[in-house]
Amino acid sequence: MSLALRNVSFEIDGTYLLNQVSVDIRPACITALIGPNGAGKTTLLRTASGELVADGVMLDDQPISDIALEVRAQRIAFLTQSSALDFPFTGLEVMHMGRIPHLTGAIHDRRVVEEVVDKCDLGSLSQRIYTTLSGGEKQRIQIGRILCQVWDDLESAYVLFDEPTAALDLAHQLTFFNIIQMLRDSGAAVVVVLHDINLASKFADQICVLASGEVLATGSPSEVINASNIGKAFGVSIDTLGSSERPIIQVRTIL
Amino acid sequence: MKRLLTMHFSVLLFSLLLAILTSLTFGSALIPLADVFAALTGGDVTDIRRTIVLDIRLPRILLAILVGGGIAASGAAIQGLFRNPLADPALIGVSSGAALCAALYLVLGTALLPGLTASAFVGGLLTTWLVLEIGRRGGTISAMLLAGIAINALAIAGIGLLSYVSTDVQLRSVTFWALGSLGGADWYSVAVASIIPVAILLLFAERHKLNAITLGDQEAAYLGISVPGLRIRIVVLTALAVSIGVALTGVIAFIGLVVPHLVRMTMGSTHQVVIPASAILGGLLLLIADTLSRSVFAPAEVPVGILTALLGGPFFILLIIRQKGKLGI
Repeated sequence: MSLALRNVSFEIDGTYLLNQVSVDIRPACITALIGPNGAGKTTLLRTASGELVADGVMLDDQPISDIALEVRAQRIAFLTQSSALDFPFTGLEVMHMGRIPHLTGAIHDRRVVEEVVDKCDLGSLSQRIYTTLSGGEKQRIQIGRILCQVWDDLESAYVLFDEPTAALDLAHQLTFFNIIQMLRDSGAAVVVVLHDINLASKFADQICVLASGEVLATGSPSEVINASNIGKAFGVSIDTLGSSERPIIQVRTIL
Repeated sequence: MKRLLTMHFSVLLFSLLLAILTSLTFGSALIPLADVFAALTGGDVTDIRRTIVLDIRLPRILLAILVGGGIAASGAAIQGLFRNPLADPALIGVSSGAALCAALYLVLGTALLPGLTASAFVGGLLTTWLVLEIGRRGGTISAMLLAGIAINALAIAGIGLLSYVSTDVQLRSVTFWALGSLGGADWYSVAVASIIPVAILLLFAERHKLNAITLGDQEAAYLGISVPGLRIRIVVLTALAVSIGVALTGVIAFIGLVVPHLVRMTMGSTHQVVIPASAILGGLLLLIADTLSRSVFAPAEVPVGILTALLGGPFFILLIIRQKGKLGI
């Protein structure tokens, strides 16, 4: 089982947002996408999820565009960068929306949501009105909603997060990474777009470096995080510190 | 939580029953409750009172409930679809289109068009289709919103032009129709309006999808919902419910905008609740407004559209000031 991109290209008006990209999104693995602004990270997620139609995206060896929208929604959950939600739902009601693709009945749905609330420590937010929450609190509820969507069958789930930690404080960033590690340990495939290369290095099993719509490097943190790759992708020079297995970088200058 | 909701719905239904009884009693002739019951149950009552209760007031009450409910439930669905708490069924052009065709009928005469109600109905559906089609080509929900604004402006210009060339008598009927009135209610119009609850039920069937679409079009798609299809279904159903209402009663302001807000403030935002509660509350409020409109200056009648706007406007302003962030505007 896997979600695979094989030589996937995506263009708008002659500009290639993705150019011959190949990535394997594997179960029980956290894949981090890193790269500068406009590198194509979000486009890659949107193509992998089947929202943007491109040839070469295969879910379990079947072209993803052949799979019905409802069926996809039971397998793939996607947390976008920001949601337009502007109605005074309670946190709990927002999380219940994650159950929409499933026809599992109210009792089961309630149990799933309760488990996720418990796991993600969302009890204090669940009865509050979503529109009155802070950016970070909203994000935590949205992460909860995404988990509710795939909770039943984590082993066959693909969970995609687009910059999930941008609005989170340090403790909640750590909580988030604990959650995705738990998802991975339960067998889920997790893809996460990160701006913080050190977080990617610390928590990812596989890192994919994107620049100008192309994959510069894919591999374990120790294989990918080095001065040459980071320099090419981001245009900065770095020092690498820490363990060689999960290197830590420090930015020196702009190249 | 669930018990609170049950209580809210019970209060709404009880208020509706109370309003129906009050409305059967009051008006240009005061009919005691005992006689009302006698008329309803086929008991002993004068013929004139029986006629007033059964053939004048009862159909008018039912029409008010159906039309008000249809407009308010449509308002709730349209606000969800456009993800905009300020949206209103009028936004998709249905009211102005209906008004334009009604004006066409009233001014240009009877030969061209099938009748006032039918013209308004066709006009409402036609403009909605236009808005939908332009919105489809624009691709986004904002494109549809802007198309609605443009079509509304065109329709108002058309009505203005027709008013300019009309005779005084025609002008008076165009104006009066645009103000909205339930004065023309009879059992025939109730029969026509009985399509409205069907449309409301079909809107209710989309409740989970409406919840999902408030997250965003993209997010709804990730929840397995085909957004373009949903958009068309919601717009067609609201156009149906509202254009029947507008065709039978003229333009009734503010119910579609205010009622869903009242519901969200007191009962929460999920469409499982907002759609049915808006339908009941919309029917209740239009019934109260209509009862006032025919009782306060009896035997004269104030057009009910004026009353709903007079009451709804200040109330909405109060709501905006008091609720601040909570409206989600």
